[in-house]
Amino acid sequence: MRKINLFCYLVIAVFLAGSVAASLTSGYPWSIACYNCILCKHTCPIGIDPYGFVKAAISNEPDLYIEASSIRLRLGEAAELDPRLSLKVDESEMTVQTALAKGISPDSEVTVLRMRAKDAAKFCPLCGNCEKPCPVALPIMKIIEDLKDDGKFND
Amino acid sequence: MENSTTRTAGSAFLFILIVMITTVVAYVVQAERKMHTEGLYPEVKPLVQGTFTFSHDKIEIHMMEDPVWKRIVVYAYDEGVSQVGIVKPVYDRTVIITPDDYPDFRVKTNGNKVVGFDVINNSNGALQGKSFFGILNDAKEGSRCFGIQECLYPLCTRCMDVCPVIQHGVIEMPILKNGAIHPLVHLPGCPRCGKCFEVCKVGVLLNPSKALDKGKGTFLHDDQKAMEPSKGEEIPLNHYY
Amino acid sequence: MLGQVKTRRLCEGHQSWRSVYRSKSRVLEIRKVLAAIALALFFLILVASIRGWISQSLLPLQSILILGAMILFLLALVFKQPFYPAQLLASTTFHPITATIAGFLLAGAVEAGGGFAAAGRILSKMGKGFLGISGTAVILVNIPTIFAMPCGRVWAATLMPAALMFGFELARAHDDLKVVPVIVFGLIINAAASCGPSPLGGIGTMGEGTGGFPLQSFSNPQQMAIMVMTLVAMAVISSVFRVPVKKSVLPPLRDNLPILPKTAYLTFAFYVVALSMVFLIRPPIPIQTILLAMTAVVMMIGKVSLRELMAGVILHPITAMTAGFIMGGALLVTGGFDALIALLSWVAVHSPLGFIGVSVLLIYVPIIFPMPCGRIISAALLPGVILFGVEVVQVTGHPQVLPAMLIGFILSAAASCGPSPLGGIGGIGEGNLGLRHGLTGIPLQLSIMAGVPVAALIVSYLGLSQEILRMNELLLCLGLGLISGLSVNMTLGFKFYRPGGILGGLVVGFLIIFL
Repeated sequence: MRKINLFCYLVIAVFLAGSVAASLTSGYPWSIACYNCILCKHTCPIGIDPYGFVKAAISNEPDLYIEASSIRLRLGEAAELDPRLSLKVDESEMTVQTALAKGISPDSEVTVLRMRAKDAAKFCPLCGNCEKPCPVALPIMKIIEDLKDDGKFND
Repeated sequence: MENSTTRTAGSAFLFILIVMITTVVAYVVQAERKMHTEGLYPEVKPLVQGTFTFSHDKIEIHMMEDPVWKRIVVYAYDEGVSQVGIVKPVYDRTVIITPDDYPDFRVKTNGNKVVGFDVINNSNGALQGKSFFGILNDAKEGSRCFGIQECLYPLCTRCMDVCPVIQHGVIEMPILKNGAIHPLVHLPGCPRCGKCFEVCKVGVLLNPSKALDKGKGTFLHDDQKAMEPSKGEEIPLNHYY
Repeated sequence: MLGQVKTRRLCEGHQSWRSVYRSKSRVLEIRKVLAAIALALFFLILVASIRGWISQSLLPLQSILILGAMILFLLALVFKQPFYPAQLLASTTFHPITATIAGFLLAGAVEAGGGFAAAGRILSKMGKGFLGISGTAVILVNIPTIFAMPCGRVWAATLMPAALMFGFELARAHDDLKVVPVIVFGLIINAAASCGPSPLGGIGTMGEGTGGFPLQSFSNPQQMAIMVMTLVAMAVISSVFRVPVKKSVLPPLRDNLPILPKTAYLTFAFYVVALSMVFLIRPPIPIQTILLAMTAVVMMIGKVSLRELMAGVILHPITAMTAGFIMGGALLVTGGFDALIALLSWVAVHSPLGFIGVSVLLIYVPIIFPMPCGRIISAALLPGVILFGVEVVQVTGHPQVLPAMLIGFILSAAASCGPSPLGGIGGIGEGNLGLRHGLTGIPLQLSIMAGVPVAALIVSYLGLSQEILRMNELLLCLGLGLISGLSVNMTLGFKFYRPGGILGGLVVGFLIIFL
């Protein structure tokens, strides 16, 4: 029993150390200072959740799926970007694969619900609205600009 | 004992004082004292033009050119004198608005000035309200302004944020006659630092070496004022100052 | 063009896409089964811990939560549900963990420098002054809400010695030990709930951000409701739930208290002044940085060594929170929280409770299933609360229902770490008083149940505002402060009109609005 407990506490220590290491590797260790207040969420004109970029930086995962609720694009373009992209079609949620399987035309316009952080960064107009309400003045645009270049962190 | 207490307290306060002085010095040293006088004036791209075709199930907008950002803001004014906007993708210089399109933001206006804005986000389904298709049709029926614009002001204020002389009103964002919000640059006051066109990602403020329509942008010369917007007028095809 | 060609090729295999679509439906069914198993396992872990079926001495809660999370990850692999470690990191909130560590470091430094001993002496002197014992008590127990930190444990740990000392003095004066748990658990519930209205990244900002409401608009209603929660907790523990405190916990009486060096008072003064400045100015700097800078200064003033500093850090709440977040991440990955919302939606549609009844249930879910940190459940269920809120708005036609529900849920989640048997703040008080683990869960839960509707009613009738000082809020807050003072007077065995208690309550009401 003691060994099980020791193992569990080690898991916790590794988890905490791993999170610090991941944010250091992404090149944005300050992302851990995020208050998780989600005040940046309702500031993006195209509906991206900027907190998603911070989460992607903390976990060093540019492929993390984040909310991007008002990005509109053609189904064909979405399929090229990511077949697992989550869309809103006729009030229901489905992936690009499912939408194509249902026979929806690739030229029809769809609204994104969730997409990868690196893909969302491509659509961002870099208006800076997300940085304004941040209580700790996190430079979120630095993460977006980094992902915009090549879809990777700190390259 | 008392002496060591006083000394310790004194050293702590001295430490805090040193930190404060260092912060102030660092801030002052970093802050720009001089304005650049060599450099280029920004070119303001003319307001984008488009023709609207209304039908019962969609509204098509045909544009004269492709926007830099491949997206455009379609706006319409509601009864409350607010500009309601949606960001739409442009394919083959065409934008299509359908009844499933909901607005993305609302800009509050007062005369020809912007006074505030709200982002209407349907990420939680709580704030959807009326569809933009309906709002656009209502604007047409009610002879209110509607149109297209590339500038994202007031959601994007980067050019004004980086302008070192913005307190002198060098860059203005008036509401034009047709209801569009478009930047106006006061050339006599512009220090030609080049920061505004560097940060504009939607291609409205341009580096003059890259601008195609040189000199046809919206500039203020000799204290000319921007025109007051009026409602109920047809959209002019060409709109230059 | 290339994109269109590519997608046409994708569509050409139409038969193969049909089978993809059929297999997608099967995947959805598997995911529903996994989500149901995850939710059931989570409930089992909670109930087993609450009922004591799993002894904490054999398997502490951190181990239970980690083992439970591992089982869920294993199940996800067995059911072939994709997940990757980054999802776990992305679903964790590090802010309360780092704030707690920084807070404990500062508290350790102030404690080692004699600051809290000085605080105890100051409180003792205040108790003999015009404010009296009841006035001092009402200010003491409400300090965590006045200076609301992102994690209530910081205040609970730092003020506990002062609260105990004060309580023991009062117990000796009245020859009645029941006043000790009254003050201790009044402080505990106030500290537990204080992370809700904290302007330094409290849970309330999550609700404001998710719902799109103005910044800091949730703060004042929550703080007023916490005042009510505190006085209810104190009253319930004093008169209904008698908490049996043994005489042996009372420290021996000392005739001559040791003289504290002036650095101790200086340390405490710096602590109070610096924190007040942070709340007044609210600089755009993470609170963790500010707390660490304050720690450095306190170490210099109080001549504190690093070893003494580390002694102030309590690992249990930090590991409990982290284990809770890992479990929360496992539930998110397996869809356990989605299953809970689906279950509640089914109940709303198929039972006489309807959406309104189930919304009330949803608001109290955090205290029915209390986690070591309220953020775990609030981050997961906030979208569900908004979903239900929108439905109730449509049913009732009352638009203030959505912010009222949000604020109620957030306050319930914030305060839920108080009575949590999984390493909640209540354990600090129970441990210090030698009480059975989980004994004070019910009175604390009752106080939360009483306080939550207060916040919802304030939002319903006064609306939300970003303004720091609104006349109607000020008057209401002063009124609630007055009631607080009157109640504490009676709870501590004094006449209800004792002026010290009333003045203390009014001071609390004023400071809550002003700061």
